[in-house]
Amino acid sequence: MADKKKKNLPPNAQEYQAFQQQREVKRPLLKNCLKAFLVGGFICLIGQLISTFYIYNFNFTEQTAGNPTSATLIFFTMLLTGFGVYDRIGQFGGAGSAVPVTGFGNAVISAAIEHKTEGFILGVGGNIFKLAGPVIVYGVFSAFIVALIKTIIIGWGGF
Amino acid sequence: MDRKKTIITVSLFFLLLGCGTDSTIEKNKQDTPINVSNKQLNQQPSTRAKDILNNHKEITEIKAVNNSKKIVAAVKVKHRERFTLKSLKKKITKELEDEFPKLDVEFSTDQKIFLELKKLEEKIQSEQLTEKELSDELEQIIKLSKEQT
Repeated sequence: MADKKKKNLPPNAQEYQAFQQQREVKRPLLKNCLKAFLVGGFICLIGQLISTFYIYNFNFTEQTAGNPTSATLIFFTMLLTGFGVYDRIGQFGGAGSAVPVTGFGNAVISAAIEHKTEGFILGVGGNIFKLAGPVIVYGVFSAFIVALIKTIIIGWGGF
Repeated sequence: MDRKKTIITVSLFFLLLGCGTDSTIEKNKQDTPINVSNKQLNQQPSTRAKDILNNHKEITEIKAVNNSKKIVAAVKVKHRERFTLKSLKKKITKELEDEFPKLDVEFSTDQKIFLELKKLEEKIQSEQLTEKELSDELEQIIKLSKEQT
């Protein structure tokens, strides 16, 4: 698709693009991966601490501590997003801050903050799931597909 | 360039840090003395269960408590073995059921169940429990281990 577009460009534009590609600052891919790994890992570490806290102090097992843990993490993310701290973490950590459940909380609350000026009903209410909507849709959809594959393999594969 | 090398070295160090072997494992397997002195609450099946579970290399710590009808055991496993937790649980449950055909066997690898059994064992050893209280506590623990959400 992009190649087709390039061929249709006038020659001087193509020249300019080649020139620009040479001069463009390369993305520090490895550095970004490392940052994402460390930030994501750190968020998971905090999650594990919260989970252990619930197991030791309340009547939760490893199995059931997951729900309050993610709720707590999302709650703290929402506060941090409101105070503008999570944006900086996101700037630094990239995918490491978006992939864990905290990224989901951030997506919901930042959309709500952004559209608050348009009013609470059509602004906040209409746009709060603007970013999180696709996550929910494709999360449910892919879970369905995986479950289907698993059912077929177990049902017909004789495992 | 130098910074890049440093970052790579440090991150590799952290990545490989997780691959070390546990040297603290064997020491606390048999951490509870054999408890048959408490005549009121016969814990012989639990002691027997601990002996059986001691033969498994994957297990690092064991807690087990029983009453006249049920036996509940919980273990801590080596961290690497957590990948095969399901099959391990199945295998050991079957082993315990074969050993104690007259008792209802409940086996768990859950941290919470382990903690609760630890508390219960301590109570039994300090002889503060009646048969009924023990049964109630065990029921509570079994109920907790069955919870899904």
